[in-house]
Amino acid sequence: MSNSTDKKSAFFEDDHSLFLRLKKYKDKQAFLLAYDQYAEAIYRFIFFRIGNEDDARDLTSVTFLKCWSSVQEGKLNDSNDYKSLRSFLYKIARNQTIDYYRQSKPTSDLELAEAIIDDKQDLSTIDETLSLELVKAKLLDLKEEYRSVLVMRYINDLSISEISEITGKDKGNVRVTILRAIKALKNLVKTHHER
Amino acid sequence: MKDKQLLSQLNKLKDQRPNLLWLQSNRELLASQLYSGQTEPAALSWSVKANLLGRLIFQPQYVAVMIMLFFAGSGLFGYKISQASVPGDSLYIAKRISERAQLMLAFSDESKAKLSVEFAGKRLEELKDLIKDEPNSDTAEAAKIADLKASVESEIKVARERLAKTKPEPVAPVTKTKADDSQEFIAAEATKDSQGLDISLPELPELSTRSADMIIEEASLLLDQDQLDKVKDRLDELNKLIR
Repeated sequence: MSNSTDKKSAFFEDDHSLFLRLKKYKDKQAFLLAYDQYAEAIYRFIFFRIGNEDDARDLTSVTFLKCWSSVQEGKLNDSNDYKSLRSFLYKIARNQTIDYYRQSKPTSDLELAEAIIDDKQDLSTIDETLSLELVKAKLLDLKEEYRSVLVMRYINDLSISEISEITGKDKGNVRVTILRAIKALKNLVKTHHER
Repeated sequence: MKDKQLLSQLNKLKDQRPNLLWLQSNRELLASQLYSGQTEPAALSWSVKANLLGRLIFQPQYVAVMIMLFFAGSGLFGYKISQASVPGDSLYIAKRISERAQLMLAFSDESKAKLSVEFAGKRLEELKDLIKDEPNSDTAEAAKIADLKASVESEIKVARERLAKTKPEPVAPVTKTKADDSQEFIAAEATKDSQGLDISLPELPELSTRSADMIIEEASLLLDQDQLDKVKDRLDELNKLIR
């Protein structure tokens, strides 16, 4: 308990400190530290939303460029909506992926993942019904809303509060969505094995 | 199937990471952007920048249209102003973001690679102009130069990565020498010499197959040696290779 509390405080201090430096001083070094800290997670979030590595990289680039542009324009000071730098970045990333969806139906790595599943199952170290590739493939098959919350919560370790801030939903709603998402993912995996 | 198992597997998907090379090169790109731009843009270009940024970033599906409309509205002069902007100008960030947007709109790895090469060329021109304009570089200007060099390197790395995904690898045409022509007409029967030994066909001159990878490698080395004109030549050569 104390470990997770310490970790949490450490995170908030870092994020809070970076956020302040950006808001008050438009500190470039702070921005690059933010990139070092969050780029992987933002990429992962985007990748699991759109299912394409190349486009995920491009959208990650645009996310950080947009963030810096907002810093320069003083947008972080204008509104109290942004409680942390991390949630601000996720919001931008989320908006980018929404626009991406509107633009085109993205090609995903789903078919490749399915092929990998059919060809080989890693039975040696994990439950044969639940290989990593299967979970990844079925995650990409989930509807976008469910996929997002699972990625944010269980892959990128965001708190319920942060997810609530990013999605604009209240915390209760977020919890319910997460439960529904887990159920939907389980059903997809079950259906795959019943084929 | 237990929830715990499922969530445990989900957690393992943390291993979905971006390519480290891309992560680093993208960081360099961002850094060069940060340390080359002004923090206090001029009033007129501020409104232009905000307008362009808003349209570029919030509605990427209309990026191409918006860019064209913007430049049509502001005229050829407006286009030239933006495209001619250099590190330090307030429109420079708009120029860089529009480049990112162009990359997003490109469909194939080849077209993305071609764009990356084009952007590397632009950074190179900016670098050459900076060096030309600032002969007695102080520390701040030296930092700008270093950042621009890093940008050129980044774009070259990204192009290499994109090209690695295309098959087959673009290869420069074989360079024929005059010796080739003289050897072309060989009698079909002349396979043995007077002693009955097999005559091997005349040796062709060494094939000068230069793969895109080789050219990129050369460009990187020349950049390290500050031979910018030669880097430009390599980029032009690479541009011709990529369809």
